[in-house]
Amino acid sequence: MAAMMEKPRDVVSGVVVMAIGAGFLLNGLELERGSSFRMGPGYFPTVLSVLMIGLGMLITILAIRKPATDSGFGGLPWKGLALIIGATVLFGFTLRGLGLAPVLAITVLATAWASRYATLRASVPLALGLAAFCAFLFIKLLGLPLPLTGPWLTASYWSPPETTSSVTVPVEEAATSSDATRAVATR
Amino acid sequence: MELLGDLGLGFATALSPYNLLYCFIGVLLGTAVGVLPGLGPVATIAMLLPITFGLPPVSALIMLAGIYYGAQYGGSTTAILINLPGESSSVVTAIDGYQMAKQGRAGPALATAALGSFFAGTVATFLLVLAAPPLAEVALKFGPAEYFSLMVLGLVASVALASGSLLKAFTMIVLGLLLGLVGSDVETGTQRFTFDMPELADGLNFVALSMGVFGLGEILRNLEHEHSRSVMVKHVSGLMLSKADFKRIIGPVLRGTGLGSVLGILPGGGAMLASFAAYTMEKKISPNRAQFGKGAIEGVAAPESANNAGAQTSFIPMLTLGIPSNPVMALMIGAMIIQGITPGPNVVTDEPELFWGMIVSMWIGNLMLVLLNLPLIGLWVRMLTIPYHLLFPAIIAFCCIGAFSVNNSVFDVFIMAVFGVVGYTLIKLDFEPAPLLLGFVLGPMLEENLRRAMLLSRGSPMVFITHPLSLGLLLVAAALLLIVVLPSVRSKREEAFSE
Repeated sequence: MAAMMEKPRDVVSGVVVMAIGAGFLLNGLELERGSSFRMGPGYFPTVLSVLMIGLGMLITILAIRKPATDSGFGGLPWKGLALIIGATVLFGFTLRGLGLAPVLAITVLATAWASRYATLRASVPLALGLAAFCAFLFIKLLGLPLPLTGPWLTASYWSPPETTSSVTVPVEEAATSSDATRAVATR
Repeated sequence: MELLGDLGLGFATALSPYNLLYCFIGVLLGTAVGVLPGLGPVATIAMLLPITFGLPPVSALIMLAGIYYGAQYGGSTTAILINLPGESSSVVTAIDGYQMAKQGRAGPALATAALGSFFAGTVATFLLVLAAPPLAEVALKFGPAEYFSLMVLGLVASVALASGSLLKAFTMIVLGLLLGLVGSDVETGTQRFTFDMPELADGLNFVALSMGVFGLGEILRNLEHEHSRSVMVKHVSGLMLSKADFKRIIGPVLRGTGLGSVLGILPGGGAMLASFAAYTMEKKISPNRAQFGKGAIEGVAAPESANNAGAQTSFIPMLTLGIPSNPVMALMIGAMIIQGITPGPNVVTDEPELFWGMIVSMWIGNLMLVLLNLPLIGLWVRMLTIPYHLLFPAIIAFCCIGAFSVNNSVFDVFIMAVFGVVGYTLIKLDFEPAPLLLGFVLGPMLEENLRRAMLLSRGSPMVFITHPLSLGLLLVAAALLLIVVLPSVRSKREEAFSE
C-alpha cells in the first residue's frame, strides 16, 4: 500500500479505472450480447467496459511516461470519512426503528465531529434544533411517512412477546395512515 | 402572432400567486446557496427534489430553475465583497470585483454585477423564446440515429469544454454511462449489474447518486482544507453607477451576454465556462486592459453578464431536445421524469403551460433578484458568518432525509453513502465528477437509440452517416474533438483554464 502511494497519482487512477472496467466486463459476461443487428442486453455494456479498460491503460501509460510531478494524494481524513459515511449508514439502519427526530439528532451530532472546530456547546444545540426543525418540516408539513419517535423507543417493544403484539398493530396503522396522507399530498 | 399568445399563457402561469411564491422561494434559496461556499446548486437541487414531488410540475420546475440562476447572483456577491466566490462561475468575478471593493467601490461593483446579470438574463430569455419552438420542431423529425448522434455530440462537447484532463473527463462519461446501465434492460427486462437486489431493478437512484457525489463528496473535500472564515465587511454604500462607469460597462455587458448565450447552449457549457471565456476575451480586447486585475469594472461586467446568460440559455437543449447540457439540467430532467413528463421536443406542444410558464418565470425571477439582492446585501453577508462546521452537519441531515424520501426507502440512503465514498475517491484521484452525471442520465437514452437505429438499419452502422442530419452532428463532434486534441489549441486551453 505504501509503495503504491509513492507512485504518481495518475498511475493509481489508471489502475482503478481498469479495475472498474474489468469488474463491469466480468459481471456482464453472462448477459446475452446478440449481434449488431439485434443487440442483446450485453452488447452496450461490453463495449463500454472494454472502452473503460482501454482508457485506464492509456491513463496509466501516460502517467508512467511523464515525470512524477503531481503532488500525490495528501492525507486522507480518515476521521471525517468514517464519521460522515458511518453516520449516514447508521441513519439508514436506525431510521425506522428509532424514528426521525432521535436519528437526526444522532446523525448531526456524529457528523459534526468530523470538523476540527466542533465543540459540544455548539453541536448539541445544533443537533437538537435541527432534529426539531426537520421533524416539523418533513413530518408535519410535508407528510413524510415516518414516525417522530420509533417503536424501539417504546418500553413495550423490549418487554416479553405477549405485549409486543399489541404494540405492533398501532405502529402499522400509523404507517398506513401517514402513507395515505402522503398520497393525498402528492396529488 | 402565435408567439404573443404563448407568452401571454406564460405570463398568466408565472404570475399566478402560487407560482410567484415558488419562484420567489427558488431565487431566495438560490441566492443563499450561491453566497455560501461549499454548497452548490447541484447538491441543493438534489436535496430539494423530493420536496417538490408534492407540488404541481410547473411550480416545482419554476422553483428549481430559480435556485440555479439565483445561485449565479449570490456567488458574485461574496466574490466581490470578500474575495470568496460562492460558485465556480464567479471565480473570475472575484479578481477585479474584490479589488474594486478594496478601493471602496464595492457598491458600483455589486450594481454592475446585478445590472449586467439582469440585462443578460433578459436577452437570454428572449433568445430562449425565439429559438426553442423552432428547435423543438426540428427535433420532432429526429429518428433514433439522429438522437444517438446528437447525444454523442453532447457528450463529446462536454468533454472538450470541461476543465482538466480530457482523458479523465472522457473516463468519467464512460463510467457514468456504465452506472446508467444498472437495472432492468428496457427491451428484454434482463437484470443487469443488480447483484440480485430487487431495489436496483429500476436502476440506481439518480437523486441519491448525485447527493452522494456532489453533497457528501464535496463535504469531505471541504473538510480536508478546513479553516475558519473570518469575515470582515465594511458597510456598502453608493450603489449608483456614475455616467463614466455606465459607459465603460456597456460594451463588456453586450459582449459577455453574446458569448455567454452561445456557450450556454453548448453541452458541457453553462455558466462557469461562459464567465471564464468572457473574462479572458475582455482582457484581450478591452481598451482598459492594463487595469485588469487591479479593479477594472469591465472585469466584473463581462463575466457576470456571461454567466447569467449562459445559465439561461443552457435551458434551451434541455427544454427542446430533452438533453441536459450540465449536471443541473440533468437534475431538472430527473425532476420532469419524476413528475411524469417525458422530456424532449414534445414538451412545447404537450405542456405549453409548463414550457412558457417556466420561461416567463425566469425573467420575473431575474427581476426579483435585482430588487432583492441590492437591498438585502447586508443579510447575505451575515449569512457568511455561519461557520462551515455548523453548516455541513445540516447539509448531511437534509441529504439523508432527501435520499430516503425519494422512494421512502432506506436503500437509497445506503446508495448515497456508497456514492459519497465514490465521489470523494474520484476527487482525490483528480477526476472531475460533473461529466459522470451527464453520462448517467444520457446512458439509457443513448443505448436505446443505438439499438433502435441499428435494428432499423438491419445492423449496418452506415445509418449514422447516410442520414444527413446525423452525419452533420457527428462531423461537428469529430471536429470539436480534433480541435481540442491539436497541440496548439491544447496549450491555449490549458492557459485559459489556469487563469
